[in-house]
Amino acid sequence: MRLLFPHSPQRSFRATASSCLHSLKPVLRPRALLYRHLSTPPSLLRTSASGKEWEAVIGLEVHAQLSTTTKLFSPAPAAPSPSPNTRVSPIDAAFPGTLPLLNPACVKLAIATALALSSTVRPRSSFDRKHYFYGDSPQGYQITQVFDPIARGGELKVLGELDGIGYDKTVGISQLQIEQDSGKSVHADDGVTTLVDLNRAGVGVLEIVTEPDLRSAEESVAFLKKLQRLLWHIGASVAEMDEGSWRCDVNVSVRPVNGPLGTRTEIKHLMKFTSIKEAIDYEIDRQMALLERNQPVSPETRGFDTRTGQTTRLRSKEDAVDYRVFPDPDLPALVLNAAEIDAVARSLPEPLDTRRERLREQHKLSIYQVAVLMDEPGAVEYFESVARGREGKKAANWVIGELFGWLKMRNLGLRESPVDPALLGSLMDLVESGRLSGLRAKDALHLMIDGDTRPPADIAAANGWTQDNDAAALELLCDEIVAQHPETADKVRAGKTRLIKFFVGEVMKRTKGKSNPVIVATLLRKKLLGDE
Amino acid sequence: MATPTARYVSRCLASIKEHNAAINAMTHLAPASQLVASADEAGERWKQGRQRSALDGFPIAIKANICTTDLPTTCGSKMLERFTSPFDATVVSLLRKSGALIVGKTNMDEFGMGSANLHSVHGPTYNPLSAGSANDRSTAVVAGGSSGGSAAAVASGMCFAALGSDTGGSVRTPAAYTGVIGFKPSYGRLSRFGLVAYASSLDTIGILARDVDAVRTVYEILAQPDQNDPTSLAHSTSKPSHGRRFSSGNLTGLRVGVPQEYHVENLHPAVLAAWSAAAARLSELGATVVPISLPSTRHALPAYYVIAPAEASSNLAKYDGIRYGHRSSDPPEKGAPLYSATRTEAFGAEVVRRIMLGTFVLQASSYTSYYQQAQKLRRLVQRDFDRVFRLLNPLHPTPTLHDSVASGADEATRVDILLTPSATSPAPRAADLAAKTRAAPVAECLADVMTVPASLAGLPALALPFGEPAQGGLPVGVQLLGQFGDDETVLEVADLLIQRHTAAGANSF
Repeated sequence: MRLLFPHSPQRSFRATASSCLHSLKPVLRPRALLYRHLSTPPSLLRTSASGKEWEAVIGLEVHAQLSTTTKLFSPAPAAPSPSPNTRVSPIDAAFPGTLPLLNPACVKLAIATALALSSTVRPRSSFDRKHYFYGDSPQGYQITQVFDPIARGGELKVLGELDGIGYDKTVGISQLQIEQDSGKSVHADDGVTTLVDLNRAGVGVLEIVTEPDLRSAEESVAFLKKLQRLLWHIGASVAEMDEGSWRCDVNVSVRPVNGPLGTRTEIKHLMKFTSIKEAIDYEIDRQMALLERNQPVSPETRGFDTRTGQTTRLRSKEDAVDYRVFPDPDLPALVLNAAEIDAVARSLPEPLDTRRERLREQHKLSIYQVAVLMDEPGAVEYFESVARGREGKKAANWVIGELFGWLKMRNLGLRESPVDPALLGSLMDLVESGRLSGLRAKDALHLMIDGDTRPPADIAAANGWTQDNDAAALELLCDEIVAQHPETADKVRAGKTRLIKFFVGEVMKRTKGKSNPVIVATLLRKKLLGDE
Repeated sequence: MATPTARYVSRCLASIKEHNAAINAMTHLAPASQLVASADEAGERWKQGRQRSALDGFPIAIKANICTTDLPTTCGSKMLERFTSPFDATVVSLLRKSGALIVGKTNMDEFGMGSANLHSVHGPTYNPLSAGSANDRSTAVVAGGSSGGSAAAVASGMCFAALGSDTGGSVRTPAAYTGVIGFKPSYGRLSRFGLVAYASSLDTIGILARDVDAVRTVYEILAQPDQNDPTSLAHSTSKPSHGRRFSSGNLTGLRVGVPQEYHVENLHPAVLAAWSAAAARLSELGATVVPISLPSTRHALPAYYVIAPAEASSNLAKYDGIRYGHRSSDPPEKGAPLYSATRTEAFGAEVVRRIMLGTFVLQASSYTSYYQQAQKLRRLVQRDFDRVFRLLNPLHPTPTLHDSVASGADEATRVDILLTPSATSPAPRAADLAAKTRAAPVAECLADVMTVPASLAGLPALALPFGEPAQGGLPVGVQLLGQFGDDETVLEVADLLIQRHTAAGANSF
């Protein structure tokens, strides 16, 4: 698991890659504009070299692996394994006589996603078979939901500031369908042999289809990142797009401003955010160039070559595959009653946008801090555990500024962090109570990240970092110093309270800086002014 | 001194030895010594009253499309000629648990596609009543299909009972042709887990035996809900109460419907005679026999021959030679995918024909006009049955207003069971049928007209021998159909009908 800091090296690499691509384009939109918060969307029109304005229309089909222990229709483990064909049941390998057994956990996660997208869960949905012959598709068909998907409708709001596009955008969801993942084919070095690994075959995947509401590559990527955050947030999919557990098909068309919809092309099997952005930008430019030359865009399926940054034709509409879709006769309709859907609704965490709002309101966190916490699975829970009974802003500084920073330098994710949130909390308390200086606390945290599991107080004591705040000793020392300076003491009693600083300084001198000035000042006020 | 079960098994083994070469019923056999030893152990348990079930120590034959870990599951196909399943079918596990002995695997039409058991990689199965010899098959009569091996094994005493599978009549037709009982329970009553799929929405495991008691004994052991089969019926749907028990030999109160649509043009006179005789017998037993109409019956065959191939084309897509089964050793033709030579080599003509047909009807351009149309016809056939049965169908318990208005039938005119012929004729000669089928492949399909409607509706259906045999001593018989889930009534009425029949001294084979 990686931390996704807004200014990670990965991000700067992307910027470089896309600038190269942008240099091919007639118009370069300043990047900075995208990060400025605007109350209204900026113009998303593309101006061609000839000065004509075009609008892109984009729809996405996202395939995200569902985070379940077992596969969609078999009891084999769904998690990947480095050893090929070790997580395969006879059902996954389509042995004669096997029958699919629907995993209710996959259905629950699909319902959870539907609810989080304000999509309508349908009381009755069903499974269909989509046929194609391929070595890593053991059944000869994929079980999916074409005619009656589990949910229809819905939307996802991409919010300007928090989601990084600079304006608010609502993207309609067309439908959600549950389906099987395929296995993997590996082409061996001999150029003839193909090896098949069925570990992934039959893992549950949720396909989320958007309306053609997106208008630019940046918008599409922002939507996908928001969707990924949402799926992490509700625990439907822990996978990361850039790790290949997500796939995305993109439909792109271009039209003149306010003109009728243009002919669309579909770009298949995009695996990374950078590829999606590059592929969309390339495809928009390609279509614009065609249209400006009065050449038609042909409806076709295209692939994206990550090396050249170009899309190329895979097949035209004429030789489109006939998938011979029909209802799966092995699987009865999936009937869901209101109580089952309600149970999932009750189990959902706080909605993502609400949580982000609350983190800002309740803990006074910055947009940056909220974004960092929300982008790391489990980070909000970790932070709130540290912040319980403590000041949110300070807790966030410790969690994000210190802990995450140091974890990242060690290439660790929060999940691999050995630092228990309760111990980080006690470390904060030591600093707050004055028993440990901020600087020494950071040293202590380093030791903790390196695996020191002792309570921070013990670490501090063992290293001689504990500040001396023994109340009785300090009190004696204060009495002694007050007695040595009776005139100054009288002036304080007469109202010149800022002279207390003089006594504090004296005490600090005598204790060689090991006592806490705040505690000392409190003690002196009590002695000289009778403050409680 | 061998126990009775060991003696029974030895008799079956002797029969296999004597007849199997001529009739080709069994394709693979369990080791004889092991069978006898297991039967002996079971016999000891019987002696001590500790038998595992009524089937403990009795030999059961299993159709070659039902998975067993100890014997190959070939489905009668070159594709799976050397395939042994890594798991037992649920029905096989249940049999083993009950102490039954798996005596061997039985021949069948390739993947269940056929009505005469002429299409098998193991060669045809012939009818024990007239098998001819291995050298001369000119007079050989077919055993019926696709569970021809199971029926022939039962008819020739090779086992106590046999499991078959029935998609459009594949248990009932061979039962009718060989003169044994063939029972297709309600769809979902017996687990399909481990039954190699032909047409999933129709495939039903069936039981063949020489008497109704044996069928019932096996049925009661196998009729269990199964978590491994998503189409398995829950207990709640599996025991509908019909609120009536028949006392010994008395069918008073039972209403029997005789559907006029089954009186088809080419019905053999011996079959017609048996049908009438059975109706008369039921009447004698106290039942009220009434003519009824199932007007959608004529749509059953066309619907079946769209739906079954459609599902088959999908179910057989998995045979690509990659993970199991036959794989072509020819280098793939340039540009041709690996599986195409494999599939061309390993599928027989009838399987290829049905895959092609199924692929065609599922194409986007023909889906609406063929597949969807066939599903509508299937619902019409189902609705016909729901209109005539007194018992409500537990799958659609609320009859629509349309149903009651259209049928004009109230409670009093409805029936408890239907009586039809089990086949249009006695078993045809193999040579005649093969010639006819070569000229027009559809010829073999027409024989399914009696059995297909119950398959489309998932109803319990039982074929039993009845009446005077036709010329050459070939048996004829009738079929009883019950409402969905009402397997009990079918078994009870069959039992009474056949007992009376035997008592009357007629030839019951």
